[in-house]
Amino acid sequence: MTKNIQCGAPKDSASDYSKHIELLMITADKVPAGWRKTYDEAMRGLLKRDCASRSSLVVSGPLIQDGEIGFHVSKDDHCVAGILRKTAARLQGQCQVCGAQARMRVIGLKRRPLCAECYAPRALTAELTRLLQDLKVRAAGKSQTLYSAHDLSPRIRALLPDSCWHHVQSECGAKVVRCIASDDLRGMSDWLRAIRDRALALTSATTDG
Amino acid sequence: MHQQSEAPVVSQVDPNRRWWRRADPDLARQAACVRSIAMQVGPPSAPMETRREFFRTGELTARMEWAQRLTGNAKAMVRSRLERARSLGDRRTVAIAPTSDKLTELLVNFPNFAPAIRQVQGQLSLCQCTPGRLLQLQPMLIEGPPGIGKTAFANELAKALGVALTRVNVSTLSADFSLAGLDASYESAKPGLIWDALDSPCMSPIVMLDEIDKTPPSSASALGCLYALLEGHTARQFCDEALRLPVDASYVVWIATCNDASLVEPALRSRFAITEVQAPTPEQMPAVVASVHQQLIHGREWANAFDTRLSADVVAKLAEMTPRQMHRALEQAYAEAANAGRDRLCADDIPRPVAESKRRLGFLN
Repeated sequence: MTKNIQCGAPKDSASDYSKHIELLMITADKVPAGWRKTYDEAMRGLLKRDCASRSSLVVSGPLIQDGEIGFHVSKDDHCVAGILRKTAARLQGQCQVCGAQARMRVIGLKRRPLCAECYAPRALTAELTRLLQDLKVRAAGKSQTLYSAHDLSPRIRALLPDSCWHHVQSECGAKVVRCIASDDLRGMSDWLRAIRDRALALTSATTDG
Repeated sequence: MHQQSEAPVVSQVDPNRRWWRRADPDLARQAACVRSIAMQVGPPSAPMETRREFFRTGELTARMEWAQRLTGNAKAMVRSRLERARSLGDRRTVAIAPTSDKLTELLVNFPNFAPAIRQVQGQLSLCQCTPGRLLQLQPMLIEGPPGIGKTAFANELAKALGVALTRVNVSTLSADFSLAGLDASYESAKPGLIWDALDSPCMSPIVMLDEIDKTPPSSASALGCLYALLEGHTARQFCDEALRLPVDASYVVWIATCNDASLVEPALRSRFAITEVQAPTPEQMPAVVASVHQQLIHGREWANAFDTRLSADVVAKLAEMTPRQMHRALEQAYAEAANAGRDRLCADDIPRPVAESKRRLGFLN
């Protein structure tokens, strides 16, 4: 099935519109690696829509911020704006690192769409860094603390062997809470540090864009 | 597809983490990813965490309250033992499995125990594959003729593994409660030998059940508690009759010895990995003589008065005996040499082995 995707009469020579789109294609290196395929497809789609009515249409960008991609279109064009809107929506659910299906995640102060496999090492690096700092502070203060399972992230909980956990009865005695002592975690700090470094090395090796 | 293949592994590894799968497949994938990173790092060079929960503090509090309501001598005994449990802590150390090459020396001193040593070495190698490298060995039943050094082997194995050994002579178990304790409702209530073995900062003692095929009929049911103790999952909730505090006895290393495994109750026998050990061959005897000799003179002050090198003819004479006879003969020989004012053994000092099984009572023919 063929579909007429041109909105007006085709042009013989490259218009300003096409030049702008080609420029967007050249500057694709700004776009995260995982997004590039979809981005390039969108740009190729825009190129095909070059017609006389769009000769003066200027599409600029891309502006990538807070895990979202944005473009500026010089005048109202439903077709071009629609393609760009759909592309932006599609990219929000696509991993910026590998292009797999993703969710919007928050790491530090940044929001970005990442799949579970790309997010886990990044989040783990940050969480382990925080935990190791916390342990260091507590060691300096010579204070022993119990971390409940909810105090630790799901990723750190997944790391720790089940046998490390205490089962502590709550004050009212109604509930048993899974806890781990800061001393026990401190005993593992070399191992945790090695995992953090490994996770960091993995994330550095992959191009984030 | 990827998620489906990962999820059962997560639930198998840790039942507490089943919520990964139930709550969010994305979290299950993250968990799998994190664990794969941890596997790349490998087990920590230093023991990651060698302490395990021995009992639940809530349970101990409940038992302490229960102990308050007891009367008579039992009250003081139960309270003092529970107080001791509290002072030792709810989390105790589990021994780290040494590498299998630590048992190479055992192979030299106990060459006839090679099948048993290889079995332990195999299991130690498995322990090395676990993140904590914690010592967990299958219960082992060593079957062999009398006097070949089964008990000595267990002692040396405990030393090599770096754990304490508690020897339970099954043939002299006087009562049903010897192993699992006597109920606190009795005036003479007391914990059993299993509790005594676990009453230490280490959760992985070796409990040696010596002569398990010679259980006296009067105390046959004393071994009843072993059915649960020899199975890992049920051993996690061992309860001494006197103290009634559920404790984790799953890290206990069980070694039983017997002369005839067929005499061991079948249900009990099936819980052990049976290893048959033969008397040393003539080629193995010089090593056995050296080992028995070393054991004899080790830590004996009188040994300093002797030149403890054994001559070839002494070794040859000792090689005709079983290790137990050898031990006895060597002791006598040193006494003989001391009497004669010599500082070195000669072949004549070695008494002739008495063929015990052929010894006749009654009239001489």
